[in-house]
Amino acid sequence: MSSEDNSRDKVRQRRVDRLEKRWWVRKAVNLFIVWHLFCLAIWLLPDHSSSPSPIIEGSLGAVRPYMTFTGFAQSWSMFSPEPDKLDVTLEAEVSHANGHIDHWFFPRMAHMGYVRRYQEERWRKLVENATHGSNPGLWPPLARYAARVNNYDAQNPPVSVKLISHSRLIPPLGESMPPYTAVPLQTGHGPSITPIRPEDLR
Amino acid sequence: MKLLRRDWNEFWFQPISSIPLGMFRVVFGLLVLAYGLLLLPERFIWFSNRGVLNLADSLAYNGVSAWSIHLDLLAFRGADHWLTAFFAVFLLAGLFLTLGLWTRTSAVIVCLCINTLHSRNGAIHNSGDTVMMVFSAYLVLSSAGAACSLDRLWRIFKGRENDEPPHTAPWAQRLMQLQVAIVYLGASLSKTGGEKWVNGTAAYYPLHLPESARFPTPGSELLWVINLVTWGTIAMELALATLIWVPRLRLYVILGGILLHLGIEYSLNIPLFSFMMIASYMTFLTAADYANFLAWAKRPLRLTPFRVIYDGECDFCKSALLAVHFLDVFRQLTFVNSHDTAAREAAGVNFELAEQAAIAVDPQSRQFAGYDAFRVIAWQLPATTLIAPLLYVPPIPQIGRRVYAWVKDNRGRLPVAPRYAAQTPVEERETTNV
Repeated sequence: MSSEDNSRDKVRQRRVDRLEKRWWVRKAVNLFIVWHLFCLAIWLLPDHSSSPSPIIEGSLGAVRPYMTFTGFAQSWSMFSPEPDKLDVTLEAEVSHANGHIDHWFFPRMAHMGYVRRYQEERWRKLVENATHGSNPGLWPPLARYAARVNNYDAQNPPVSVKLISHSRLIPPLGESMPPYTAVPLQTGHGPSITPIRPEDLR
Repeated sequence: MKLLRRDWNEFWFQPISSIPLGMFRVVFGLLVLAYGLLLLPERFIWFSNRGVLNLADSLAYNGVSAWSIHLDLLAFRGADHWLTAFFAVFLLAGLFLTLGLWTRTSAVIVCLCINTLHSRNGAIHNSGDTVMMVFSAYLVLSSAGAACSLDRLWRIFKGRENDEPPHTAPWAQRLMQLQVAIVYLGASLSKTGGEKWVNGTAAYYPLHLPESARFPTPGSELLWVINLVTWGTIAMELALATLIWVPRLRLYVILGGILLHLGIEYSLNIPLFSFMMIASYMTFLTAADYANFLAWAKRPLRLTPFRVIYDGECDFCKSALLAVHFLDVFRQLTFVNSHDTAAREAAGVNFELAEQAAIAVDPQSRQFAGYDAFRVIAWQLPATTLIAPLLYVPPIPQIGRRVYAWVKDNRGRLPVAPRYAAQTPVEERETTNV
């Protein structure tokens, strides 16, 4: 290392030291800490009251963009307040142009070996998100994906897909497991049937 | 008020050892690599426009979730080769973060990439992935490269740091600790509002969901076992939020948390979640904890203390030993300058031999020279233990000896650590202080 490099390092170190000692740097970090802790509390602590607290409601508008943009938006409650009891798998009923129907299941963890299910767990999460909450927005993309997977004959492409959930509720301890019930996913207008356009198959 | 201000400043800003954060960074980096490698084979299914969610679907999904501004680097380039390049950059940054090479920059890239993957397909990420995203953001704010990093080795090469890793202001690490505590507080409080948690049967359900269960859990049909697991989970989560701050209880609480998450890892298929949570506890450990652990681990590992005799007038040798000393976590190696006659003779090594090659001497006074010294030293360093057996497999020893001989003949022309390059004539140099 040349003496020029040496002195450059010393200058750099002095600059860092000076910066750390400056009152406004410490103040800025303090402000950030207070703000961040406030956001964490608003974002992570549960609100048990039937009507949400006005403080939380009022603050979320400011807190949400900060939490989502920075990637601090963690919200998980580890199977609470109630654990998930819905055992569900998703079937796609793929109708082809000639009237033929394929029945295709989204990958199921229970049918996989231990290693593969570790790699493929994303499918479970996706199906859970599509069927558990209010995420009907996921149904058309899932239907289009099922159509692409089952588009094996260019002369006879898929024309529509109906999504059917096969589900059952895990019974309390000591009771026997009920059979699965197959029910098409329902929109406000009936079963969710996604028409497939040629561009959806690309 | 004065006391409060003093305590506040002490908690957030009083410098602490950077070793725990450095160790956390290494483990976190490995988890980031595992996350990236698990997603890599199916990147087109999850993140491309011909996958499950195209960009419009992804934006709509994020909107439904009421998440507002999102960072998505993939929004601008949807082509497959761009996605592959994105993963290459992500994995490379993950590797650099693990090694602590250009740590801050690597942390920023890792954080941006994880954020992007979450924004591009938020429907496939589990709790562990979210924790990873959050901690990647904290690492950007922290001095994660201050210890256990190649950045530090470079600073040692330059002569700016020596044996002891620097102490740094811990405010970012404190935020990580508080994040862990608040998450567990939120999770445990939320459980107290659930009927199945209060009546002690909640743990039964996830264990019996065929899509999330992993290995069969013994006793999962027995009410008392389910009660124990259910209430034990709440108690453990409360402890991780509160008792973890009590110094005398800290390690016990961490041990309980590790057992809780190993139980979850065994019984439920939530990739990387438990490992991520266990890693997060590392932010609560102190330098003394690591020192105690190393002292404890020494005996079962059966490490051998070696004296390493080197040419103290060779700058390249001294530079190499700086790296060896840096990797010698268990401090098993003592370095002896071959020009220090008393110390060399005490080791039983003659000067001519020491001039030819580095010599490692074990407690039985057996001597290993050159490549053989390198090989026995490799067993003592945690970072090289795994490759040590390979150094015995032909033709590696033959190649290794040739390389060693070439290095020996050309050592005057090889690059050296800047701290030695700055020094002038050989006669005036001090003996090394590695």
